[in-house]
Amino acid sequence: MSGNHDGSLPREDLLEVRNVTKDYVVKSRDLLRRQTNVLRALDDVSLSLKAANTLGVVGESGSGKTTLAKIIALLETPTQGEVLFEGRKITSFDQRGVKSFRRQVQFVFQDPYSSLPARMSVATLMAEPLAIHGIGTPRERTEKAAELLERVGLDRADLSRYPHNFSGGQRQRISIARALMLQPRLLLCDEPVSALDVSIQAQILKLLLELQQDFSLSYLVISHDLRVVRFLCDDLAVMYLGRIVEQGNARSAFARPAHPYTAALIKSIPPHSVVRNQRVELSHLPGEVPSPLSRPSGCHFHPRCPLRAQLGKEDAARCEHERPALRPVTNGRTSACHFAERLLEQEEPAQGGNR
Amino acid sequence: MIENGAILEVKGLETSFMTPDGELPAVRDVSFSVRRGECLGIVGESGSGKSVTCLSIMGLINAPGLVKQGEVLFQGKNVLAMSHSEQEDLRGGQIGMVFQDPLSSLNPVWSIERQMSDVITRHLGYSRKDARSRAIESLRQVGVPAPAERLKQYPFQLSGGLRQRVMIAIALSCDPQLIIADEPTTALDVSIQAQILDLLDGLKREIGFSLILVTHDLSVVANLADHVLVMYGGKVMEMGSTEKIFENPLCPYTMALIDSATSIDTDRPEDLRPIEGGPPDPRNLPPGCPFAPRCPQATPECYEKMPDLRVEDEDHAVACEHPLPHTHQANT
Repeated sequence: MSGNHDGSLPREDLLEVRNVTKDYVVKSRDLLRRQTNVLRALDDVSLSLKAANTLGVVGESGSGKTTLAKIIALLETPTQGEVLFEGRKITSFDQRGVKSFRRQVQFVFQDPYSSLPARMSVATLMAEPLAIHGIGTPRERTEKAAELLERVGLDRADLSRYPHNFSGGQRQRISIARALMLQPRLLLCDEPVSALDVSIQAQILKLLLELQQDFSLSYLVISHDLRVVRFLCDDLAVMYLGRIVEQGNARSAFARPAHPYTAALIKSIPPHSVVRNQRVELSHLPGEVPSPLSRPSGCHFHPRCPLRAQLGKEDAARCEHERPALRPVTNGRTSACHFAERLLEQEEPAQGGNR
Repeated sequence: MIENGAILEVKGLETSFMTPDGELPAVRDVSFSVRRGECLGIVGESGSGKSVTCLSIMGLINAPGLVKQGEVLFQGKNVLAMSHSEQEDLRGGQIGMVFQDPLSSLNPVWSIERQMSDVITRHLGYSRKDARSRAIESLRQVGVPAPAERLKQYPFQLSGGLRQRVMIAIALSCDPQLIIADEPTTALDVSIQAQILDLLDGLKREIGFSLILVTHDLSVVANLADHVLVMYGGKVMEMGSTEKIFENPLCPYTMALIDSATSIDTDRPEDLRPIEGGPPDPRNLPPGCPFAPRCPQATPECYEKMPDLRVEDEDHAVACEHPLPHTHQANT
């Protein structure tokens, strides 16, 4: 079941999330003094990532994407369902198994300012993963760190400096280089560029793409920014209030979204061109994401759904009362919308970004 | 480009930070004006001096920072020459402020009501009861649902988008003539960013205040701003109407910014055009144009002398030895 170490991999699933649900018991009262007990952060989520492929998880606050990342990182356990790495359940790993898992799955986090240890020099923090796993001599570790630093566009002289000497973009490069020290198979990137200036985002995205190709890495990219996912990922899964609402090829989803939430996210991206004398309204999604403690009935998205506003009474009622299943709708994509077909019919290719 | 009917005129502003490593110039000879009811977008990467410019305008530069030179004329009076208490009257009153991270701008241990009344009574002299009504009205104006309920809450109980709305409500509650918003949407989810931008634009049209919007993200400015100022290394590189800046960028830096932002939207990775290299180190600023080390058009003269801002066209000026040809279109 597991891949071969010489790189001739069968196209199996490297990572598989199977029907994962995660509940948190919450002993608090909400604003209206009703007692609520269970926060369902993830609701029957399934996805899979093949070796050397890239998958993006798109979601805003409350979507459950961070919980998903934590579960994959073995920082939380699912309430139901399982996560498999190379065909084996990660929750059943013994200590050796966990250590091996950690070698193969590394992380790049959002905040370049808090994700690097402040008191360690770059040399130390980069050598640390190898030291923990007992790999190489100190000199070999330093050499490897120097190589990777150069590969990400920094200088080997930077080894002796400390994180605070670097800008946000440079720290993110260091984080990426550190993540590559153990030669992992999978890099989990949680909002890898959100904290950076747009001009630096382009640099880091380009770097991530090059590294993915050079090292045959798989990426699981979590982001609220669809553009990042579209650029880096073959496939995507869009999440809302703990459920996947659309899944499939990233470029197709961008061109012709199969779920109204995806469509609204795309339209929220400000266009780059100036429309003469005309203010383009950006927001296509009224209100805020409801609290995961009180998810709306039926389709969780129904109170804010622009498509539902166009439906007749009977159809609209269905959205409120009947939970839509995630089902195949078009060229390999799935959507959790009762009226996905209607949406697809309506659309021309979406006007996201600078088109 | 000094206009009549300008609510704010900044002339020759120079702000530096005095450190053990020497003087770090953050704002170098910056001049611009903002007309009544218009939105000026100040665009630049981190370290460009855009935030320090705003802090200087509001009289918020303290040691080790120092405003070395310049005038900031708000409605004709120089803010930099005012006393501390006059500046305090201005800040939060006639000049409202909205910052990037509402969680650090709002007092975590004060209820929303207290934060808002505090500001309103300070600037408008209202009674507690009237201040409360005014607060509710402002919250309603910014689209906060159930405003009376919100007053009792604390910042940590609100989502990022709501907190930012509260910040805007606080700025609005004292009838400002000018609102300075420094990266108001950067920490927010994309769909909420869109809401906040729509909100700012709608309020500006409805109420008529002027808006300075500071951001690293050009697309935010494309949609909202009437005029744009592009900053780099503490200097103004280009300024003009939003249309001209986008359709006909003259400065290679502006062009590169537009390119790197728009190319993220591409389907083809090979089209991605980041600007290589990084922003200049303020401790080692070259004597000439700060962008020269990264500029594809740089010649030796560019390193020696920073050109003055020259008007190239109506409502369009650039500080560059080799401005791009007039008919140049951005590669969108």
